[in-house]
Amino acid sequence: MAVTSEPRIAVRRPPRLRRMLDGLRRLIALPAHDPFALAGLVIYTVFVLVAILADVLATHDPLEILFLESGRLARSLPAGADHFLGTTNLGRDIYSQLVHGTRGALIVGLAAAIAVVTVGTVVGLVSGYLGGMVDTVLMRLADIALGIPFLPFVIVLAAFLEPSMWNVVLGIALLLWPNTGRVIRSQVLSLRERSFVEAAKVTGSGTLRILFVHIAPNILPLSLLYGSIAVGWAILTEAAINFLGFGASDAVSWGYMLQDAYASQALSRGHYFWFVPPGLCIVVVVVAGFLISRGYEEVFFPKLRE
Amino acid sequence: MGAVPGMTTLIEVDGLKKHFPVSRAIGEVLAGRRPVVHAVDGVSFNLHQGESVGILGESGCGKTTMGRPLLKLITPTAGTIRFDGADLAALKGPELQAFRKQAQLVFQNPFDALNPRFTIYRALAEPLVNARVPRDEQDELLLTAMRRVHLSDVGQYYDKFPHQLSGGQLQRVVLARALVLVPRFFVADEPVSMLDVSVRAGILNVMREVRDTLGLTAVYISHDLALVRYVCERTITMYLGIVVEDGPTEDVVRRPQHPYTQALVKAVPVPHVDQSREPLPITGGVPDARNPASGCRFRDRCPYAFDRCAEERPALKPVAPNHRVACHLLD
Amino acid sequence: MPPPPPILSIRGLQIHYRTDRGVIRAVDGASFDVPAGAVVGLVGESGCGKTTAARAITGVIPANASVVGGEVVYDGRDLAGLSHRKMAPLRWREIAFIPQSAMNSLDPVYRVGAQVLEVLVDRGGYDRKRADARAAELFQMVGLDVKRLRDYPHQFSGGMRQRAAIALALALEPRLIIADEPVTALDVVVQRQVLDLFKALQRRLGLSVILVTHDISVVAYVCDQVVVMYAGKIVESGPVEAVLTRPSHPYTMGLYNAFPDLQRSGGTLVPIDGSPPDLIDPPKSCRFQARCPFQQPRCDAPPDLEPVGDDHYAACWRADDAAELRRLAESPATWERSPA
Repeated sequence: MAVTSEPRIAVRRPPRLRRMLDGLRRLIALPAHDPFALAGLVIYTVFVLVAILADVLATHDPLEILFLESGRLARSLPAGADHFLGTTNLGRDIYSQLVHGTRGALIVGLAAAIAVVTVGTVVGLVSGYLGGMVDTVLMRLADIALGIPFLPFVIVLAAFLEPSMWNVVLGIALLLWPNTGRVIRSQVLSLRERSFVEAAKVTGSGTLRILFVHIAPNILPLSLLYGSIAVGWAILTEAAINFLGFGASDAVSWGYMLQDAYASQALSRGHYFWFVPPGLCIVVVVVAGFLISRGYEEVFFPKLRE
Repeated sequence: MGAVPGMTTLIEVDGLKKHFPVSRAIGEVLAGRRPVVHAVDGVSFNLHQGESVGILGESGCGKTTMGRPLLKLITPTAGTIRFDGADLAALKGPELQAFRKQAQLVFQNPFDALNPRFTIYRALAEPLVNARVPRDEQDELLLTAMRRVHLSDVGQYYDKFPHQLSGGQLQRVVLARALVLVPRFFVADEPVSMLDVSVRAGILNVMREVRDTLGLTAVYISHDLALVRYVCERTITMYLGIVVEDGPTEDVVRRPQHPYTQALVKAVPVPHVDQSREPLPITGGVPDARNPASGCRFRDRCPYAFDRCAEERPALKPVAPNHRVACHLLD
Repeated sequence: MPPPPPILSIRGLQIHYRTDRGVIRAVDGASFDVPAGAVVGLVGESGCGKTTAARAITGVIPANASVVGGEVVYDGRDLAGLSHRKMAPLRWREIAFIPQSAMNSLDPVYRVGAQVLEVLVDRGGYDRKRADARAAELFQMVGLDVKRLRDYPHQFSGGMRQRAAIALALALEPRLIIADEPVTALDVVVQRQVLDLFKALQRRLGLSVILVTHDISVVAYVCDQVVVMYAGKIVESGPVEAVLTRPSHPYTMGLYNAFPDLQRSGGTLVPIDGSPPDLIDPPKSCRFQARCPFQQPRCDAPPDLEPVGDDHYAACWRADDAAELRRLAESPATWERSPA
């Protein structure tokens, strides 16, 4: 085909925003093939909405001690029209606690996951690509972090600083990053040898650019994967901390509910509506996280399918 | 464009060596030995502006290792390389950046040479972005480069991802990326070995054309003699890390002087039923880059080896104005 | 005296792959014979179906592939429908397979000698003493030092591994060997030695070989017959000399001109622009039509393999004009279109 004298081509690439939205849309559409991942996404969306709309959805203040019209304490009421899940020993509305607890769980979960993923990814990138002394030092730090027993450390941290949600997040971030870090590092080690990385070098890219512009997009899926797993861990940890009584006592969370129920001997009294819902919610959210990660795993690493 | 005496020398390689440490067996660790692979063991040659040189040899000869130091992608163990008079080892910062604009690489595996997450446009624009070329000039340079590789219908390619293109198209994109800043020199490392045969011819023709229109200096690393003959006027044959023959391609192919080159030429099959099936003038045995033979490295496979070959490593000596051979037989 | 019957006869072989995107018709009606004691080259580019067809003969095809039609007749029996278990007695003993990468037939954690012995003892019923002797004999036959039987595969070079894979294949004296790109990854000197080995074994043992390759120079060097495949179909077949000097299908002509030939100095290589068709929904016309410089409206109907010479077949409506087409095919202008 002869090359005619074409006018100077102005290739209008769609503006950045459009492309990002397209990418996002594709990202969300991906698990459409996997019913489990789809279920996971739906569950997450529901919980996120609940957390955002907690004030609207809750019927009462979660910590308010309620009284009946007769003036008596509204204690241990069974599920009914006024109190969808009944009340606690102290007359607090369980349903509202559950709804507000969603916030705590998700905030801790997401914050911790973001922290873990960011630290882990950056460490993995730097360590894997630069190698040498940097790699050795960072990996030894990772070993130390892995060697520290998880729950006791978070407890000690919470006890040392004040027991609060953010200290739980801090504890998780400090100890959970090595898992992500190591996996990212090994990915980077193999990516480092790929021709396109050498191509980046030969076309003049500097080290930072290679790390964050060339290599990072290729490991981001893995980071996100580990992120969704970290969310599950964080929520479980937060619940455990609260259950053990080291959590903040002024915020309601699912773990707090469990601790409260336990301390009030809800099991022996058969107050199922008190402790089953928060426990179930924890399980459901954590499982949803794993389902999503599994669904994306199959998309990003299709070889697993065969 | 051949190497004419008096033409400018662009690249000087002097005594280049590259050794790699090898993982050791427990016996060697205990004995304190550190075996090393002498991938490139003392190579010297000059490249003139506009020359297309083929570096020919089999696996283990060091040819693949030769390419990277020429582009300052690997540090040599010994020896110097000069580009346009400047010692590569001394280049840093802005001078290094300037060098990178002038020296490029074409990769062996087109499926791996482009970032799977970048569109073709972005991959092509990378050298321009790094060189801080203003946006309005970028499109023009890209278009020129794409035209040179005969992918003129750029709208078809810019927004696609590597997995959407065929091997032949990808390799053209890789070549276009190398040409986008109009370099003076490029190294092509087995540029067509991973492509289907019917596609290779297209890429090779494009490379010939680029050579003719841009007057680039090029180094083609290949094990395929037919390819080297098609694109290079000069051929350097390597064996176990050293140069054994260096001369005009036609002479090397028609009248090879070194026993290894002779065996290599005879070994290449041709698509004709009528071809020589005589045994090759080379004995079995696999070259071991860890323990090369003393003296001439080729002597344990050479049918003409004699006592001097074990004692003394032959030096590259001219047998014709532009033709050097390293063999005691020619003294 | 009539020629002996072919050792293998393939008729109308059809193999499909089930994938997420649909069914890939990898081999769509292939028919050819392997004469006893001959080396037959199965030539084509990636995706043409040659490896699939070759593997199907041994019954070792991927889980998502299935033979949906045709017959593979070996020694009077149709192997095409046989289950994995029923094929077992034939494998190694009658028909042996050398995969593309020798590391696919050699287990890296066992010594090479042990692997040869395993085949001899477990599958061949040899006793230990005879097996040892036979292993040594096999290594000598393929030009490997008998002492290397004690080594692990990673201690072998590429060429040696390939020879070891050949030794393994020959262990139980099969009558037919199927070699999938046996020399592609090898250096040219070793390649030559391995090809010479195939030829010597053919002569010495009366072996029949199906050699799958993309390299027609290899075919010219070592094969007696050649079968050219394109997009799942056979486009030309016949004696090597006839097919290479008088190609009668445009694809074969194009392939020949795209190959650098060391004996021809100067000259231009002529690429075949375009790509093979998608085999999920292959065109109903001649499959080469889209890339063929000689195509005509009648090519909308797929041509059958018709005789164009002595035992020489081609699937092209214009086979009668082959001589003229060959002449045109030599010039680059004939093939010019948009790039592949």
